[in-house]
Amino acid sequence: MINKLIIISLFFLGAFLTLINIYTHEKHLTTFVYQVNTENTHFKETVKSNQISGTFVAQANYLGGVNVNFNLEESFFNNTLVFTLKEGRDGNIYYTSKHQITSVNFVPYFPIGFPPIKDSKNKKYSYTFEVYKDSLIMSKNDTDLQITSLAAKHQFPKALLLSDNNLTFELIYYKVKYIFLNNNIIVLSYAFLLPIIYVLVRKYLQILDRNLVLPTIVLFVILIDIFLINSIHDLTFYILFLIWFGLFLYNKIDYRINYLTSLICLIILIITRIFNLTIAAEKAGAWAYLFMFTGTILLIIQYRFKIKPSVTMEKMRSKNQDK
Amino acid sequence: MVKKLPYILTLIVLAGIVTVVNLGFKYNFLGEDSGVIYDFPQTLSKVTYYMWDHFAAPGKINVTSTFNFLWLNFIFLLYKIGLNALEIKRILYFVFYASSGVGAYMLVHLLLTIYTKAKENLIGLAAFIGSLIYMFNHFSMELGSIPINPYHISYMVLPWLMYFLITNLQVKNTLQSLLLFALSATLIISSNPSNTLSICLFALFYCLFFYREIKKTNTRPVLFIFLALGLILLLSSYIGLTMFTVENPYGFSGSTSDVIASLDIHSKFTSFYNVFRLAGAADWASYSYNNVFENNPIFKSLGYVMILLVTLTMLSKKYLKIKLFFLLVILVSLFFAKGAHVPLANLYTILFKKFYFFGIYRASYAKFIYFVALSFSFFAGIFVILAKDFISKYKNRFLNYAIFLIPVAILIYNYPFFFGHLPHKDYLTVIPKEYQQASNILKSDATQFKVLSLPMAPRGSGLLLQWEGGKYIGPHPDASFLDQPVLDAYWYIYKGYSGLLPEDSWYGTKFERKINKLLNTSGFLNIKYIILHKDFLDKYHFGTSQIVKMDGRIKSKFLEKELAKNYQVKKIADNKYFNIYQLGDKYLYPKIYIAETIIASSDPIKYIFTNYIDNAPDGKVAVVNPTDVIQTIDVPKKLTFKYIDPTRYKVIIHDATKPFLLVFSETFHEKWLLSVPSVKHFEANGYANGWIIDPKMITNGSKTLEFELIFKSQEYFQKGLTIALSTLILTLTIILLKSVARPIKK
Repeated sequence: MINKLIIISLFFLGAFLTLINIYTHEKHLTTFVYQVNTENTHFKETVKSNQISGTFVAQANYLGGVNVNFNLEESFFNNTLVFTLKEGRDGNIYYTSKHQITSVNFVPYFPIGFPPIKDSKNKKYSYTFEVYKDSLIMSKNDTDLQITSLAAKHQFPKALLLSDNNLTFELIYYKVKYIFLNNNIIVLSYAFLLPIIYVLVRKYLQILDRNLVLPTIVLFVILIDIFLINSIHDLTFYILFLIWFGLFLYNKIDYRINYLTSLICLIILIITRIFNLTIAAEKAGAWAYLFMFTGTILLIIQYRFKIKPSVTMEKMRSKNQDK
Repeated sequence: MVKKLPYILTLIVLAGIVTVVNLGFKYNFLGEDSGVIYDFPQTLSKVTYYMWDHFAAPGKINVTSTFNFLWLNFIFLLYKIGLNALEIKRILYFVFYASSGVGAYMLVHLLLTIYTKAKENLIGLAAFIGSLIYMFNHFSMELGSIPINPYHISYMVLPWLMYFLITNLQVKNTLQSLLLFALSATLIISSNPSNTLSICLFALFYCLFFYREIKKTNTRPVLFIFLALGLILLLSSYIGLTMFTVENPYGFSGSTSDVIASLDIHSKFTSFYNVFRLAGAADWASYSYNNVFENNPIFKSLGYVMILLVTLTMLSKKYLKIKLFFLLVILVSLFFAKGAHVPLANLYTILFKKFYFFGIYRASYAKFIYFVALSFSFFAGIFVILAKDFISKYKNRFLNYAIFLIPVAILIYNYPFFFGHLPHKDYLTVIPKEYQQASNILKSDATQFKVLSLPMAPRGSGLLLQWEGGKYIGPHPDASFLDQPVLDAYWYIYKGYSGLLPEDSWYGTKFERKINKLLNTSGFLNIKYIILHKDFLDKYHFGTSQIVKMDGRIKSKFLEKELAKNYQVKKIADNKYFNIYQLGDKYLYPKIYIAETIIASSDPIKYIFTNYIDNAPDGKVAVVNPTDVIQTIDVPKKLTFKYIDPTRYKVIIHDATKPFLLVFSETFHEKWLLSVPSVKHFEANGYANGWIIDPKMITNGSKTLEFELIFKSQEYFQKGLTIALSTLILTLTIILLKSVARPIKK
């Protein structure tokens, strides 16, 4: 009974954490943002400025801003950026604004807002970012101005949302669609895995051999390193690997458990790759390799010296069946 | 063999589809390492059969002719049967994929037959799936993005080499199988030397690891190994004889810090999460399909299926030894392929510092990942056998068919092969007819000369041109276009001209402003013509970094204006891609000349660059090191010489009585020899060959000297070729006689 209660509570904890996360990312309830394709941008350099322009089709009404991320060299700083938005390629200028580029305001997204366009849905807009060569450094810069990402921002008026059900429904549709495309939010929905992890860990602890307690703790530390520490240090690998290897060798544990652990790390690698958690993926990959390596060395040792493992996968399986 | 045939045919058809879909029939496929030389057989033949490459002026020892001899002759053979360059490129592309796939199929089939004893039908299917992995993966995608060149040989011949090795060691050895093994080994040797070394170690590792298994067979392995080594040595003697007589055929290939910097570039994408899926090329981000493999969750997950299967397979205790062998290969190869990534991120740097030769492995991904591909191919096969074994316990029809999902998944995952996404877009191009006919412009001039190419290649590494039918990105193509020795102007910066820096080859017009002054020194280099490119690119995305700018067109416009000011320079050709200029007589020195004035300087190049700024030298001058100056010198009245081939010149000198200095304007090399005794051979003019010749040592009173100037390594090369050809003919004759004699005996 208690067990079931824990599982249900963990499920609700997952749901709660996910909702909190959605709220944190989506606290501006009346806006939604999506990425715009920037592959069709054109670069132009003149004596006075560096210019980059492109077009996009608005996916909804009330287009009210863009968030832009430039690949900026230091030489671009302390210059003036002019943003221009037109309807269509040759239409009239809808909005233009001037901004000073500093190293502070361009990391990571530079937001540019303008009065929302009521009927923007399915219309083509062309944008231009022009950096004027004010400073001496800029005048002899040797790289092109490049946009690494551009997001369109739609702002629905609150009053209108309350009165127009169709508009409210449209906004909800976009928000839900966005939530499923937002990696940050999906990552936190890992929390839903908590009940499954609990069941697996419980099962594991039931069949846990005392020789496996320390390796389990080491594995736990490795998992913490993968998921929670956002930097990579060679030394961490050396220390944890030596402890792990020593424990397996000393306790004569079946080499195949390393391949199992490697499999776990590979699955973690796939998940972290899907969610673009590069550092975690790099660490998961390195650990998958190291476990494979340990397993292979132990395999050679156990076969070469005819060592009979004290802990084997077969033993653990029969223990599981007994329970 | 009959059971193998459908699978082999399928692989061949797939290779054909990949070739047609990716290359089409409109554009030529050129650039990268192979440049345009495969499209100009006339120039190619001079590079193939001679040990001195005079085209890369001022000349260098020709490693290509020895290492790539077999490959280049295969191309000649295709030309001989009437194919054109466009068709040949397609054949090479097809051969690459077909040979890789079929080779992997034969190898995996053989391994599974020896080590698993499973049913033949199942082995056939398992080997087919394995061969698909070897044929279609991220590394073979990368290899298919560039024109096929000798570097590809390692990948396509490796499975064949191992197949013939194992057949000879563990199945049967006949003279035919011995010859096939030796031929595949010779082919491997003709590819990249670092790959050859790794493949040798791989083959040796197999022999040692399965020593007991090999010993049990009745194939006389020791005799085979000795015979094979002997045969390989004889068949590759044109490489061995020439290479071992030259100290360092590659010359200086960069300092340790250069090698470390290069490793950093090559390691950009080689973390485990990439190399596990066989990806990790330095320009990985520039491929059109990169977006799918980096962002689509299904493709992201599918990429790791193979490494998952390897790990899963290791959980089973069946066929442990062969699995362990390939797992060890994977572990070692992955460890080196990951380059400068954790764990042991500094290992390479330490190795480079301790062992300089290890620098040959700086392109870590390309140098090791193909072993992982081969091992994955084996593991795919063994997985199918184990899975079938496992499935058979459940007697479920659907599970049986699940195996067929694997080849389907492989083909879906590797979709770029079947949608024409493989070739790098800048390597599919059309050579303008102006360049194709450029050699006709200088054809009428029978003298020996060099052509100066302007503007210089950025850092001297190759040209980046914009043509109507596409771009050209690759090594210097002018020697092929003109069929004449071409000196890239970067040589001057490399030699320290006027304190200019490598950056000046990219930007600005510092060098170009000095062009007319620089021409005063052109005699020392035997330059008679200038080719000026007007089709230079202004910027280019190299794939590894941001878009790089260069002032190609600014430089060429500037040069055009400057050269127009010089009345000693005459424009003889002008089209939208290039101009050709002829230099006036005041600049000219013949390729071989007798110095009228000898100047001693501890730094001859610096002397030339600083003392001949405003005027060309008066008469024929040679600048030499003070230790090489002779006191009594004479200037014989007349010198004539005849070019025989790039490694041989006939020289006749009249009225020679006292010692004199002979200068030969090709890069100094100790293997350039006179057929008569000389007092001394040394470097003249800071790069060329100089000899002090004393007529008394040669003739007894006659004033006319007649001798040859030869590049000695050519002799070794020719001797090696004779040995290799004789060995091949002899072995083939024995095989033929044996096969004829057998039915008669019966």
